Amino acid sequence: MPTIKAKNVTAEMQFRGRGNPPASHPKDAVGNFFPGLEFNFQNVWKRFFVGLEVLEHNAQVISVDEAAVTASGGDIVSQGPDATPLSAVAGGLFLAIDGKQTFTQVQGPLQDPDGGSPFILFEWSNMLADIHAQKGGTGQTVECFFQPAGDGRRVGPFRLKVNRLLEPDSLLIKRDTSLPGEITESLCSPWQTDYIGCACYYWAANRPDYVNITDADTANTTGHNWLNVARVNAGGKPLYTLVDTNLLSHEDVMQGWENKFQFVFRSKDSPDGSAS
Amino acid sequence: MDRHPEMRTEADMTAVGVPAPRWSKAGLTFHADGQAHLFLANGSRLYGIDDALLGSFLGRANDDDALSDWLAEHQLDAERFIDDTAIDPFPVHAISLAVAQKCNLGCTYCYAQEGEFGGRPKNMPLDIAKASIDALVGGVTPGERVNIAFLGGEPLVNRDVLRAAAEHAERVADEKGVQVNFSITTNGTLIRPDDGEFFERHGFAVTISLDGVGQIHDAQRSYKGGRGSFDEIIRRVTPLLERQRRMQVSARVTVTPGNLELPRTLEDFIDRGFFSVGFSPMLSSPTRRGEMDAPALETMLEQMIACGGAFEEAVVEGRRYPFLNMVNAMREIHRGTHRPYGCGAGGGYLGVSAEGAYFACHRFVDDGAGAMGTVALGPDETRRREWLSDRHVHRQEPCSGCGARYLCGGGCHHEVIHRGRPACDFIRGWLAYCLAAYVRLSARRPDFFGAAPVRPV
Repeated sequence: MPTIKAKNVTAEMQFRGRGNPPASHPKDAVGNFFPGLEFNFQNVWKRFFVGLEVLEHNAQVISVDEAAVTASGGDIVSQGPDATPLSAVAGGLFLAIDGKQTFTQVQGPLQDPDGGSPFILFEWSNMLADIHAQKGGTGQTVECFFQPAGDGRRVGPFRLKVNRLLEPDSLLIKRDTSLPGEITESLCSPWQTDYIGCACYYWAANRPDYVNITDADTANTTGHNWLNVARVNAGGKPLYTLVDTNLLSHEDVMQGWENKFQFVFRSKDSPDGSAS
Repeated sequence: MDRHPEMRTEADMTAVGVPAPRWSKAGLTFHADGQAHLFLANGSRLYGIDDALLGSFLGRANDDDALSDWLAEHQLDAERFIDDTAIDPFPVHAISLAVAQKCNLGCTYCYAQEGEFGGRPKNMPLDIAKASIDALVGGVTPGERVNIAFLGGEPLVNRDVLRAAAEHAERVADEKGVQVNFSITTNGTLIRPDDGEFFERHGFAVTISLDGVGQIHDAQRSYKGGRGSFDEIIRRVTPLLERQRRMQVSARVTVTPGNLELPRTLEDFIDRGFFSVGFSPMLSSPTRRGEMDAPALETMLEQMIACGGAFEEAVVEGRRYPFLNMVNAMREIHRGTHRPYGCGAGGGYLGVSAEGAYFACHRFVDDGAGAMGTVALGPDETRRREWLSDRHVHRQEPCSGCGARYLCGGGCHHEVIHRGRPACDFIRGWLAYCLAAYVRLSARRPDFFGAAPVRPV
């Protein structure tokens, strides 16, 4: 076997380990998992914002350390007319950063009368990566808006500082923003995480998006969202919904998946096209 | 003579059984620490490889198609890190102010023609300095950093404007939440103790132009009447060297055929306490005096490598040794810096003349070849766009076929436009040495590059 050893940073970034597929460079990662599942990159974003802990997979604020935010020069009270304390967004969601939305409203011929026009989360880590390149560790602030938990309000802006997540002049993930054990958290259950996360006809998805399809070749086609546990019918036809209270969550899959999944055969729930 | 490996010819190397460093369009192959290495220009990537791979690479190095297949076979293929697209003009983040287009020295080779750029001597009025600074700070966003360099001529000839401009810059930058860094390049002959206090208070990077020790310096950088300036400069600079905390006082040596004893100069200046010491060959002089020719550049390369050896020794021993050319080269090779331009001139950086016109950099002041608009009317975006397109390294010859093109970027625009590229062999020779030095140092002192130190076994 020939010997090739990457010696500087750009060579390391471009280097492909023997046996890894062509898409196994960091730049080809799918945004959350590093190629090859060596670690879960979602966890690296946890301390992206100085003083906040964040869950990447649903853009949620886990906790707020107001003292750390203040020490960094960030806002602990919103600059908007609402003057909301930052502590109120613990458990809430990010809505926008520097004018870019984290969620978008779904457009399309939805049939669920209760569905309204639901919002879905972008793969916002792409946005975070861009902000990291521009502002990570520079002392520049980002303007953030949030939706507090159990509250439909949009609050903000809060000016927050952004950590640099890599060691200087290196590809090493920084020691003080990713604590020991954190980057491999959740790898104990990779398939459950993928089962929810890999969707939208993503090539690596190992389950269908859309089942029990009727009138497939017509404009009136419909079917069930595979994630929807209720499998509701309306007018004798499957009702498609994106209302997330009816959808399988990571938690559902971790706890008792065997009671929630059934076989899907030729795009239909088996044996009878209905929920078990 | 026992030549350094990076200086050896193919015949020398064959005699000692090690292939000579070899440049191709794709990059460089060389041996260091007993192992073959491949530096790929695309992305400035550096790999250790075995001799069999080296042989197969060399067989294809000058055949684009065969090389492309070889790179893919060994999983070293990559999209082009730098394409043919010129960067778009973007907000200026650095300016130099020619606060005094006049000088009290009569240096033999000065690009500014004894400070006056071929015109009449003049000082920059404060309102032009302030307007330049307001435009600079106005063009960036809060949290960003700007750099303001005071140059000339000799900038301390116009001390009052320099100080008032720096204080104005701090004020407007602070109001906007912008960080500002100051630098000055001075001949050192006019520095007063209170200048040191001012530079320290405002954290200036102070560069003193010094071309050697004693008479060697004096032969190149005398007063206009012919009297030497070295002793006077040292008398005035020594108090700054002793008090530098926020400010950094460095020496910049312009190398001509008359001051080629670089290790001696380097040691002397480091011993005197300069924050860093850097060398730069004189490649283009309006009078042609002092320009380096091929034999002088070869001698300079030998001298630079000797300085590099002292640097390597010091780093391995854990001693600070601020030989600026090596410090910069090690950082850039480590990062894999790859650039389509030699510097930021005309892009993020513009020079401002005493009369308030923008030029591509401080060297182009009052030179139509680098004119870029005026402070009053703003940068000439069409001209900047043309400049960035024309000066792209892919449009330079012989750069487009050179393996060092993305480390070098095509060289100093001012020198290239006025003289051409007489120093390519020197640059490639220096980079070949630096790449090998990087291999040695990154193995022995990874902590120098930010990694964990090597533990003794």
